[in-house]
Amino acid sequence: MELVCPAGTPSALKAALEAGADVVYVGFRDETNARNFPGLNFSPEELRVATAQAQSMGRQIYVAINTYPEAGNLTPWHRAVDLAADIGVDAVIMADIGLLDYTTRRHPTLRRHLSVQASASNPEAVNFYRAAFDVQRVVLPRVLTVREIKDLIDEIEVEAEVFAFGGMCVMAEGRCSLSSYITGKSPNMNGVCSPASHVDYEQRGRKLISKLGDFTINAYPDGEAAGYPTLCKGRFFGQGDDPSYLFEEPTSLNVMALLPELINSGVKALKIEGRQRGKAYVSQVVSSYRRAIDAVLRGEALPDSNLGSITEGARSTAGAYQKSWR
Amino acid sequence: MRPLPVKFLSRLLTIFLGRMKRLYPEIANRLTPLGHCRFHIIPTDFPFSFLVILDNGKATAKILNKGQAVSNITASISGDIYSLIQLLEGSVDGDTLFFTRRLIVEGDTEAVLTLRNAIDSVDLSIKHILTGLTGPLTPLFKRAATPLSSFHRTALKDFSILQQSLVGPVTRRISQMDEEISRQEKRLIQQGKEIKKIQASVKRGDKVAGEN
Repeated sequence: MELVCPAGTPSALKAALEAGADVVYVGFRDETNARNFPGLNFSPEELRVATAQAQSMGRQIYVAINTYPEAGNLTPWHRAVDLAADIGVDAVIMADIGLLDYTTRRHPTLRRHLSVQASASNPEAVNFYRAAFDVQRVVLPRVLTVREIKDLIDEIEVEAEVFAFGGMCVMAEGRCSLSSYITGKSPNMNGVCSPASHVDYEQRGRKLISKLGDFTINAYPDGEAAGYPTLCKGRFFGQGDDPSYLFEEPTSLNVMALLPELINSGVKALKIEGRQRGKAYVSQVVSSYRRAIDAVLRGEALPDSNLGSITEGARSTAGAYQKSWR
Repeated sequence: MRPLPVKFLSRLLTIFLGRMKRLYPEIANRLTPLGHCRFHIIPTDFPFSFLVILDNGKATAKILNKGQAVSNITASISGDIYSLIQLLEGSVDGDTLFFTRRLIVEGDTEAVLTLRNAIDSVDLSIKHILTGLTGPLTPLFKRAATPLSSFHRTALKDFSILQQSLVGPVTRRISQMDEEISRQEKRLIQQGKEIKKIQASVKRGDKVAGEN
């Protein structure tokens, strides 16, 4: 079982390696990846150093080039693929079929993984990507139960990677444009959901107000844990007089309790989300999951982990993996 | 505590930032896109606040007395001094502080995020920066040892007071947390007893109802 961990900066990468990551995934400092946040990500030189560092330790580097190229402006995406190949990273993670085609033709030996942004969640879709672009692994959307994942793995010819911890979106993965209705920018096209340039916080009396553009997303009374200012996790006025979470409450994914089942299902890799988070988060989550995976593989009970305080809204869920609402 | 020489401390802080820039040039590189920015850093349990001015990656700073007016701020960042120090050293995640409401950000969120990511991109150590400060400051202190020896002594004393005022709130906060935990434990024990009493009373009530 491979533990795939996020790093938004060289120091986060170091933290991930020290905490026991088998693989660290990163992105370049531009719109070619789905965490295009200010001050974040790697320059080509930083990636070169990081790759040498990880590979000297017997670990791997994956590069996410997983946004959809802008029509008429393919250069940044092609340059990112060429750079990743030149540096000698272990795999690229991508979603767009045009970019997959470019990579297959120009860099046939560069290992290709299908990003969650491609939203491939059935055998036909996954096998299509394998046949057309020789994709070696699929990162599955967070919409399947453990049983469905096992059934899918039985019918596909590529490795399966699933999300274990971190951001939890209610969207059909890779198909959410909600943020763009207010900001003009979305994760798929620009690598940002609720970009910081459009976010405002204001302490108003005993409430923290979060706003996206001209819209109030939430109002947290003193003492209540806060979440990201995303539309899907906003508190709005519906039919009643009191605002409520119409889509989803602020919460993070955590499948720690399901690790034994996931390992038995044939999943090849577990992914931690959070390239936008600090190195302290990376260190804490990666070391907890390292201990847990090692314990399960030794046939021992899951160790205690205290990840509650770093979750969005101080809450976590196993999400669709359990689908307890069915 | 007697008033600290604000000008002296502001100068010291600027030297600190200069050394930080030399030790961690990657930070300035990531901050360059911000151009000119003025961050007001407000430790909520500290008698001063800090005005950090960035100009194309170069940083200068001023220490302000609590409540002192400050204009043209790009953004303000407030939190207890312990959390702010942890954030500077990257030993706590900024989003975690925000989720748990220990960090308040107002103003240009993008600028704050850039600053946070830039600082988190290196393994910053305050101890490392302070240790090195003795180097460039040594000649200054040597010169001050003759005509300005009294200033030297005062400066060192003030530095010690500053150190105490940094550590003091943290120590107080830890004791407050200990007291709160102890209060909550007592409360839980009391609630447990009350629940037992209620359960016993409910049992007795059932019995009476059953007999009827």
